[in-house]
Amino acid sequence: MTGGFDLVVIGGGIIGCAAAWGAASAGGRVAVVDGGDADDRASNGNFGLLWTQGKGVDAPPYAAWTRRSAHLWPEFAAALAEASGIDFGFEQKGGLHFVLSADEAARRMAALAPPGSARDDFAVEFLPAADLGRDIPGLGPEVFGATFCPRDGAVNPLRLLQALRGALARANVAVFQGRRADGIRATGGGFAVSVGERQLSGARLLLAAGLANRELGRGLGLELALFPQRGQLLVTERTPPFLPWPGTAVRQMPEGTVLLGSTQENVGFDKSVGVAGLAGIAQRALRLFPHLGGLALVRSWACLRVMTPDGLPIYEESPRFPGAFAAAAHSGITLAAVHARVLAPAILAGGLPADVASFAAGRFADWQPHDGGPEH
Amino acid sequence: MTEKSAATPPEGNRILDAIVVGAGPAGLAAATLLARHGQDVLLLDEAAEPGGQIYRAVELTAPGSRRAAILGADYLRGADLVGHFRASSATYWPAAVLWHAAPGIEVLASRAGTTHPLRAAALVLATGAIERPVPVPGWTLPGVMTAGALQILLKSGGLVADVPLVFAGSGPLLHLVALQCRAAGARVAALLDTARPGHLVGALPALPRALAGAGPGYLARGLVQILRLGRSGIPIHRRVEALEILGEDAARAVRFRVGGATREVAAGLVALHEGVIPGQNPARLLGCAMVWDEGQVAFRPQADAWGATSVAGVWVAGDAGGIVGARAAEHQGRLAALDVLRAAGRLEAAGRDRLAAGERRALADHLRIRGLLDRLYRPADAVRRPAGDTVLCRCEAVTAGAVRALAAEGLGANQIKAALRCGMGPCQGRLCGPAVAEIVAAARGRAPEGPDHYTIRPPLKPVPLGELARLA
Amino acid sequence: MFGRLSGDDGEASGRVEIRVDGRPVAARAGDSVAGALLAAGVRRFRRSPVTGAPRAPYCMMGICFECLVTIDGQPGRQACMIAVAPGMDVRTAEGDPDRD
Repeated sequence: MTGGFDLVVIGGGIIGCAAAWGAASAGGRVAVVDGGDADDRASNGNFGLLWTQGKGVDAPPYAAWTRRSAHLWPEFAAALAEASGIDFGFEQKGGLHFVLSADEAARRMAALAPPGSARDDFAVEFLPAADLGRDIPGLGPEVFGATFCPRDGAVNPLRLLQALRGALARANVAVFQGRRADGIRATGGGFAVSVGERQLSGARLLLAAGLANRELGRGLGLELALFPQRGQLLVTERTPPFLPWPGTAVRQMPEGTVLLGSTQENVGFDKSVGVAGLAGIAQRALRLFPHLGGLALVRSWACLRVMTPDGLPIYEESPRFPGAFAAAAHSGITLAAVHARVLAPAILAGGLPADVASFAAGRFADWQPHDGGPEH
Repeated sequence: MTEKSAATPPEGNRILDAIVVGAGPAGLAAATLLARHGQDVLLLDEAAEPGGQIYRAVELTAPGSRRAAILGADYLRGADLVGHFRASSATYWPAAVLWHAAPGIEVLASRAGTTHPLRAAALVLATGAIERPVPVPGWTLPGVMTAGALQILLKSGGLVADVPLVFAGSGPLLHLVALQCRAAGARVAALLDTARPGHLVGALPALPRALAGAGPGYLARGLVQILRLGRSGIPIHRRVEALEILGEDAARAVRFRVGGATREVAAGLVALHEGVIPGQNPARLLGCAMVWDEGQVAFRPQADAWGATSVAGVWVAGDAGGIVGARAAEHQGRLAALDVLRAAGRLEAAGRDRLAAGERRALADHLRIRGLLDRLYRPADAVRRPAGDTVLCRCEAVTAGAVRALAAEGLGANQIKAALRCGMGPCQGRLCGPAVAEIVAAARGRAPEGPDHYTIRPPLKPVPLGELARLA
Repeated sequence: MFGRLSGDDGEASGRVEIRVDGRPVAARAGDSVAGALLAAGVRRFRRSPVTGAPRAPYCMMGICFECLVTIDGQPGRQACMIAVAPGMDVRTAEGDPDRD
C-alpha cells in the first residue's frame, strides 16, 4: 500500500491537475492517477479560453462561480508559471464573439447586457465592425460587429496542462501516468485505489475523470448526469498576426496558427472527425475573415465535451461514502483557478464550498442515462 | 484511359467500383486489372506522371538515352506497366491529393484547387513506402537530402550534384544511387556505410530461402553492385557510427566515427538512407489495425493474403502494406484487385484463386530475398531512437531528449504530441512518428504496438480553408 | 549545388520560363518546382517557423514539407510535387521575408 495521501485525484486533465495542484499548494499530500494515451482527454481539444461572456446568464450561481475564477486567474497564473517554470500564454485583456447581423447583435446584447445590468468589469459591450476594423485587418464585410468582455482571456491549453504537470512534479505530487484506476474501494475512513500492482490509500477521493466519472461514480454512490458532446476544431498553418483578441469561433495563437471552431454535435462517443462539421466551421470562419481562404488547414481535432443536461458543472460528495467527491465541467480552463484555489482546499478540509451548492448531482434525479446520441 | 478521365470528376452520387491510390507498380497493376474486368476504377496519384517513385518519369525517359543507361533496365521495365495502364479504361487523376478517407468508402481528393468528394465500393491503398527518416545531428540543414531524393532529381530532371557529395547510411538503394550519381558525373567524396558486419552472420539463416525463385537474380545484382562499388573509386568507410552533419546555414561537412577515430569529410550535399518503411498515414486515418513488424522494424497495416485490411472495403498493396519491392508490389496489386472483384461479386472465390495462382507464385519468388535484406540492413537502434538533442520533429524542432523525458513519465505518443507539438506541423508526424512510437515503447520495456503511434486525423495533407469551405 | 546531366534527352524537352523571387529562371518541361529551383542554385526554400533556420528539400517525394514555397500567391505549396508551368511565380522565404 502506497499510503497516507490526503487526497487521491482520479483524472490528470485540466480539472484533476488544477485541483491536485491546489490541494498540494494548500499543504495536502496528493496523488493523481492519469489514464492512457487513447483516453478521451477533452483537455487536449479546446480553444484555451478563459470565458465569462454569456456564462450563467440564466444561472446566477454559475455566473458568480465563473467570475470568481476570473478574479483568481491572475494570481493563479503567476503562481503556476513560477512553480512550473513554464509560460502558458496567460492573457486576460478581453475576448470577442463576432456577430453577422443587427438582429443577432440585438438578441445577444439583450441576453448578455440587459438594460439595468451592472456596469462592472464583466459588463459586455458591443463593438461595431467599423471600430473593430481599426485593430483587426481583414475583417470581412459581412461582420456586423462583436460583443466584447474585458475580463475574458485565454491560455495555451496544452502548455497549461504541461505547466500543471510540471508544478505537480515539483510539489512532490505522485502522478501515475498511463494507468487506470482499476478498482476503488471505501475502506471506512478513507479510500483504496488499485493502480496496476499498486494500492493507493487516501483520506479523500476526487473523481475528475471527465466522462469516465459517470462509470467511476456509480461504484461510489454518485449518479452523475454526464454525456458527450462532440466538438470539432481546425488548426491552420502559421500566418502573420491579424487578430489580437481571442474569440469564440476563431482564435489566433501567439505562434501564429489559427484555431477555428467549434461544433456542438450530439453523436455519442464518436470522436472521429466529420467533414461536414469541418466544412461548416471553415465556411463561417471565411465569412469573418475572407483573407484566410488561402491559408492551409493543417490539423483537425474532435473532442468530447463533458456535458450535463443543463450545461452547468456538477460538484458532489457521495452521500453513501463521505469523502468521495466528483467534479465535472466543460469549462475546465476557465474554472481552473477556482478549482485550485477554492474547490481543492475545501475538499481537503472535508467538504464542498458553499458556492457550488446549486451544482449538486441530485438536480438531475429524473435523468435517464444516455450517450448523447442524435436523439438527445 | 478514357477521355472523360482527363478532366471530369465522377458525377454526382455515382459510386465507383474502386478507387486506387498511388500510381506506383502496385497501384498501376491493380487499376489495370480492375479496368480489364470492366470495373469503374479511378486511380488517384499525387505526382504529375505515373510510375510512383520507383518508375518516376519513366515515360519521359527515352530508351537509349544517357539517363536511361544510368538508371538501368530495372527502371526502364516500368514503362510497360505504365503503358498497359495507359491503354486500359481506368480513369487517371494525376496531381490529385488524397486528404481524407473514411470507411464506407468516402474519399476527399484535391485536384487543381478543388476538392472532390468521391465514393467507392473498394479502396486499394497503394501509397508505397517512405524512406526511413534518419535523424542525426544536422539533418535539418539545407544540402541534406535522402538518397531517394537524389535519385528522384536524376530521374525527373536529369539533375546531378555538382558539389562534393557524401552518402551515408546503409542498404541497396544507398549503393545504387551512389553508383548512379557517380555514373552521371557527380563527385562522390565518400560513402559512409553504417551497416554492421555482425548482421552478415545474423542474416545467414535467411540465405537458403533467398537461393530459389527470383532470389538468385537479386543476389547476383546485389553482388554486381557491391563489386562495381568497390571498383568505382568511391572512398568507402565501413562500420561508420556517430554520424553528424556540420554546417551553419547549409551542410559543409560530415563528421563520423570509424575504427575508434573521428573523421571529417567536406561535403556540399549529404545523402542519407537507412532503408524504406511503409507510409502509414492513410491506413491509420481509415482505422486499419496496425501491427509492428519486428523483421522490418516498422509498422504496417494488418492484412490477409489478398491485402484486405481490418476495415471492410479497404485493401493495401505493395510497400504500403510492408516492404516487398517493386516487382512483388505489382503482383500484390493484382492479387488485391482480384479480391476486390470477388468482393464485388464479379468473381467466385474459386475463379479468383485460379487467376491468382500465377501471381502468387511470382510474388513468392520475389519475396524470397526479403528476409535476407531485412536482416542485412536492419537499421541501428541509434537511428531509430536517437540520443540527446537530435531533432526528431523537423516541423516543430522537437528533440529526441524532450520526447524521451515525457515517455519516461509514462506519457504516450498523443500526449507527447500535445505537450511538445511534435507531429503537429505540416508533415503530420510522417517523419517523427516512427521514432516517437519506438521511444514510447522502449520506455515501457516492450516492442512497439499499433496504438503507440500518433492518431492520424484529416487532413492527410494540408488543404486550403477556402477549398474546405466550398464543401459545406 | 546541382547541374544537368550532359548529353541527356532532357535537353530536348521544352524550356519553361518561371520567376523565382522576381528573377527569371529557365526550367525544363517535366521539372518539379523544387527541381527547377535546385537547378537554379536556390539553397534555401523556407525558414523553420520555430527556429528561423533555413530549410530546403529533404525527401523530394511529398513527405517532409521542407520545400514549401509560395506559388502564384498561394503559400505553403509543396514544390517537389508540383510541375513547373510557364509564367509561374515562385517565392521562397528569401524572397518573401514576411512569411514563414
